[in-house]
Amino acid sequence: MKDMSGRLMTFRKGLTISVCGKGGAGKTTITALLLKALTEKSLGDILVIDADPAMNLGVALGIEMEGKTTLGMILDRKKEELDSGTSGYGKLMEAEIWESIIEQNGFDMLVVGWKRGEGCYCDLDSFAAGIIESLTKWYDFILIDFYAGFEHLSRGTNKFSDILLIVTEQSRMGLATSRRIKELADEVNLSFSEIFLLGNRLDSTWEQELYQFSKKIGVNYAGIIPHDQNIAEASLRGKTLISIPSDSPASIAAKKFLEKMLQECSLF
Amino acid sequence: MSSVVSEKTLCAATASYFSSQGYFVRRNYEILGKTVDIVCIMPRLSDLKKRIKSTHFVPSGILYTLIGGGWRTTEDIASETGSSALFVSSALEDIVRDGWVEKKEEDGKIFWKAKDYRIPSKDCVMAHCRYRKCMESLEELSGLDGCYNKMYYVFPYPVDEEFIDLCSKKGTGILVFYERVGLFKELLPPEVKEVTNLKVYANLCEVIIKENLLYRSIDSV
Repeated sequence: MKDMSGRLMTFRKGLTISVCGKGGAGKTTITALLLKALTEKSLGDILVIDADPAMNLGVALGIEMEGKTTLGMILDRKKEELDSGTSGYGKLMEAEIWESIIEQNGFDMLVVGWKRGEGCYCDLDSFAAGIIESLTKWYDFILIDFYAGFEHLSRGTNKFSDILLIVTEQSRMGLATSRRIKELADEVNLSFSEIFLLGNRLDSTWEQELYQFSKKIGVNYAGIIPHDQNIAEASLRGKTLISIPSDSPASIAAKKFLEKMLQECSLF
Repeated sequence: MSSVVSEKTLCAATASYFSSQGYFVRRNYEILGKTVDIVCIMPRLSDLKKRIKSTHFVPSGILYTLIGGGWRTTEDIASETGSSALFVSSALEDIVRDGWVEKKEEDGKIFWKAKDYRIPSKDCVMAHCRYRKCMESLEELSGLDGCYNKMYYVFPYPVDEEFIDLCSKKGTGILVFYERVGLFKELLPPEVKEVTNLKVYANLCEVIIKENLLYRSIDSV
């Protein structure tokens, strides 16, 4: 009898990485660099979610956002229909969300956007969250670019994430925000497998300090993404960050971090 | 044995389990004259989107002949599928507008080529729950090689070494369902096999997707 030696069948789930941090720390840039590293490694199907109402990730990825449907637009329309009694929840909402997903070479993208309507969206939000959660089962990696601030943590929006990646810039405020994010994640019992702290646009003199700071606040040190002229130029010219050279300093650092992260999660 | 969960309940629990993991599931599916308790396919988003938009049922029984190949004449396809040339021609004509196939005319003959068609699944799992006649069922299911990627036998209790060895030789995995705690354990991982019977595979994927989309579009509130 081998009944106790079998592997427990748990829910299939891709690796979900939530990127958060202080405003202006470079969350969108880091998300784009991680996406570039993931697509270059061809490790599986990738869904990237732009959960920042500023919706800059599309631009960073070279996606024309004009005329694209966001989740917020779908929820607004659905709310109007529900308020006027012309629609139920289930019918086609799942298909509408599928339809709003932008397919690119090597990854798919869902843009959350924002909601314009007044009143309570709780039911719709929860319904949409269920659809998105089931959708993520079709992907091996889910990358989420969150907005600055803490609301997504306190509301448990990223409770299904495996990895929380806190991005900080070279400033005391950046570090203070990172500490508060870690404290809040502990406070609201978000069970991330790993929490990493990554320095963006940092010079190497800060590396040791950031390492010590990571240890102090109890997160994994992820390294630094150095200042990279290729990113500055791509941003200035409105070019996609996916197209920056693979041997550029930031790109190499992002790949190194990705490998480290996947190793920590025993996936690589 | 009387307190053991019934085959029907075991089947329902297994179907729910795979469905909760993102698979599109169908129970009691007949393939090559054999009834498989559970067939699960893992869809791709882009394929689902195309099928939602499409106004026609995808004629997989004809389209499979064009997968991975070049231009073929209507007569060629008709001869391979056993259909009439008229049927092949009208079925393919219907889906030109959906972008699944391309058509050209040369020397008075009509040629067809797959344009944007691929089998809409990246993984196919079959599961069997008829534990009361497991030896017979295991033998019967052997004939389905080439139509799936992974095959499981599901039991409501642990099985002996002899049966594990037998399944191991056939590449069939074993799942054990503990009804009391609602838990599945993989006693033996299945061998990952290559799909070679594209005709059967394409058809089962299209049917399962069509049916699942239909259920999902029914008002839930």
